[in-house]
Amino acid sequence: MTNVEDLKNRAQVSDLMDGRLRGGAFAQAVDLVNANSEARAAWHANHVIGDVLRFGDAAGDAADAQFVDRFRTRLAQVDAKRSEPSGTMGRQPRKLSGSTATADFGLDHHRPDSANDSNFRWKILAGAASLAAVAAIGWGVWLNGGAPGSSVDAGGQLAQTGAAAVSVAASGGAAVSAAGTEPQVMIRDPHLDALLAAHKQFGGTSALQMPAGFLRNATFESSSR
Amino acid sequence: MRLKCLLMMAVCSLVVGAAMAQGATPSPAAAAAAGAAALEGKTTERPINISDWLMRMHEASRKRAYVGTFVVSSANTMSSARIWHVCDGEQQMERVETLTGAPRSTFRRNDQVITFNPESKTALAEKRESLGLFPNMLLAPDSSIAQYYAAKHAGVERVAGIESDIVQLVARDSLRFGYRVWSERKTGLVVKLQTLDTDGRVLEQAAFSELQLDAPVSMSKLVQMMANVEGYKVSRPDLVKTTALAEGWVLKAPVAGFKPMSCYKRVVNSGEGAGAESAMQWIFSDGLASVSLFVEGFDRQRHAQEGLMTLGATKSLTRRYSDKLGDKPVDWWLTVVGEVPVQTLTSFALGLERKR
Repeated sequence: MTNVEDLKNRAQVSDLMDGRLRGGAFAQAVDLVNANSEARAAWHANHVIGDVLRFGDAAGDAADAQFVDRFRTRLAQVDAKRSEPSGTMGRQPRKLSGSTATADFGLDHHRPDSANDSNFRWKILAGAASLAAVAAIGWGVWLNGGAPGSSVDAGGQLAQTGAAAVSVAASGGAAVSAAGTEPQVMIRDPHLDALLAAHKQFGGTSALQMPAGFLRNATFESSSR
Repeated sequence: MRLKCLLMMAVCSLVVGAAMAQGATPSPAAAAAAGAAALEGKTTERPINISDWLMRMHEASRKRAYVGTFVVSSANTMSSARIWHVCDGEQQMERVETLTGAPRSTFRRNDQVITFNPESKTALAEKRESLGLFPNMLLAPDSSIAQYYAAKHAGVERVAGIESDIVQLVARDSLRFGYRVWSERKTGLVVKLQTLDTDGRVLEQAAFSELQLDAPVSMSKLVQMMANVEGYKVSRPDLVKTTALAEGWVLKAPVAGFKPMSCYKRVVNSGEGAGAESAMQWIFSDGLASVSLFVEGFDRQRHAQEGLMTLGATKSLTRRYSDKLGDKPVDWWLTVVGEVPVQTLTSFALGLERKR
């Protein structure tokens, strides 16, 4: 990518994050993020910055940690300037009066106004680029983490291997904590996709289904069939 | 102003409280008003009444027309769609045109859904009964959502230019994910939804990147478009309502908070050349999250891989189940799918048992 293209793409990603794009420009930017690893990295970096600004930390890998350290240092310098008596620059954090209700969840409410996202820690790895490019459903599978009492045969249906480790946060449970640290690969499994579609059709029994859940399913299905 | 809000809250609480004391189900309007008061009061040091708030959210979608761009992001994919939504108090209509992946148009009229695939000239017509279950589920006297989730007001933020309240739904145990929901301050319309894992990390996000509220969307035009299936081969899911017991299955150990909602016997078509297999789908929900248990006959060719898989907030677990029919060994293939932690899928997988 040339410097000019790079700058143009970064501006496009920034506009996407800020919700400034419409119609064809929006679709073009989404395609760019899906297909271009540098654009995706810019998207990811913007979110890491957002995390640090809003929550003081960001979930990520070692590279993120270094980036976050550098960013924090820079932020501290800016904060120091802001706290000077004459410094009136910058917006004051905004929160509801008396809104201390979520303190028990470790959330930082001193968040600035923003039209774009707050806590968006998608771990987009370069190795997943080829997967995203085919725009097909890909299930992340834990190679050595099987169902209870089972062993996983990772052969056969595996379509992609190697660096395509998808960092989806592991949840609780013995099976997962063991599996969560294992490398993952992406597979395509039409049968599982069919069951997923059936789950979405009848399993969307959720109070959050209306309307966000339905829209989520209808939108997400676009890449699954 | 603050006094007014507090008075409003008190009146709404009394209305809802009185109705419940009489053993009656509160009307959606009363519950929605109570939900609005809980948020508009601003001094929300106390937790939000989750049912009231969810009802308000539901009511908002029944009252507003809008056009927007919706983006769903998970670990390594991003999907987006253009949305048109219109309602007249009784009927809701939606049109969803995908902007990424294969072109596809989905139309919804209440619980009737049809999805057009222009490339293959096929359309799938479905009745999504789960859409009809809501809001009755919330208003049911045995609704246990509040038992498993706490709702807290977490601030105010703008999403797609819309001033929104942030409500955090925190799971009270590790068997379910949490959610962070941004809803428009005025009416409660959901504009952004994040699914959080048990450590509070975002697994998936669905949000409007652009939203025009009260847009002039024509319901008659959408009805016309939905009905126009000319040139399309329309299919319907092949399924029959049944019970797990009738199919010979029981859940020996219930999973906390998850109640059985329905059970179907359906044909699962895995695509061209793969053939179609019959499977039982047993559906559970805790009110916010849902889990489907699929049981089908074991096929060595198709069911080679047991394991855990993940797709955004959706997890799946596959497992072979062996039993005997007399002296003859019989194997089944179990797939558990849901927007829940793997621990929950494991509990379902281990709890399912063949009835003897």
